[in-house]
Amino acid sequence: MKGAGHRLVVCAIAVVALVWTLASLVTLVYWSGLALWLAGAIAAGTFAWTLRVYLRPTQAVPVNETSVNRQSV
Amino acid sequence: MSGVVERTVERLDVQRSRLQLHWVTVGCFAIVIAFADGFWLTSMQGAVGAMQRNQKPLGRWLRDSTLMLPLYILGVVLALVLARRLFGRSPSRLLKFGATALLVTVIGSAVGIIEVAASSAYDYRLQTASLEQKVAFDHSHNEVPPAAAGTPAPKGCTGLCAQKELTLYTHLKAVRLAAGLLFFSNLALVLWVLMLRGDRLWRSPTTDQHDAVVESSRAIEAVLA
Repeated sequence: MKGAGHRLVVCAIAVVALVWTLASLVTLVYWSGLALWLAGAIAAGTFAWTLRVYLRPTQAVPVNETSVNRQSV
Repeated sequence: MSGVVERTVERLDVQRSRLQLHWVTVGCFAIVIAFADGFWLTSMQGAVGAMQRNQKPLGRWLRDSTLMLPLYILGVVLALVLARRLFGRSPSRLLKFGATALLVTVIGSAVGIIEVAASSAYDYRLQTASLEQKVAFDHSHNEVPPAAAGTPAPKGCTGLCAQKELTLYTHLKAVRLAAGLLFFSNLALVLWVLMLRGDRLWRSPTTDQHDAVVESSRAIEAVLA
């Protein structure tokens, strides 16, 4: 079990890191405008969706299996 | 409330130890790349940036590089985790470190290029707004040459439109140039840091397991005593 001092230090570092990261992201968004990031996010989402759909493994039915089924019928 | 804080702290500790990275090495990579990319950003802004953003270059370089540091840290962490996952078990030392250097360079440069492009977009907005104001106050600005020497002349675009096109063209050219500079300078710097701290990229999981075993054996001894 770790002490209150450790908890305080980790919390302080996490809060500073979070605020710092948010500040850098907000600066980038402010510089470039929100529309550019929205367009980028939409493009990236569309690209990921396209990859996911077209690279989905297709479940091919083995030839032997179909012939066995026909025979059994 | 304190329960939530405690759980969050424990989760952060677990995540940090799960990454198994040398954080000093991560910091070295991030600081070096962030300040080098900040230098190119400041240079580019001084060359083609908006007049409204003119400041002392040293202060601007320090401020912008420090501000963007967390994004570079995230980029370096991502690169090192990816490199360990993809090439960590490779017996070839050259492949392992070469791939790590390339991944850190590519991801670091991507962050740098995004930063440069965003700054350029802001400069472009300021410059076009300034041009529009000028044209609104002075109609003589409509009679500008459509294109400077060596730049493509936009078809059917004169006056303010031509000036905007030229400004955009200048920024795109600057970003392209900066992208190349960023990549090669980052590659050189990453190789340099890798030479200094290449043996301290990832923590061995056995070290942590050993620590855990020692800690638990101490606890058992304490209970038995």
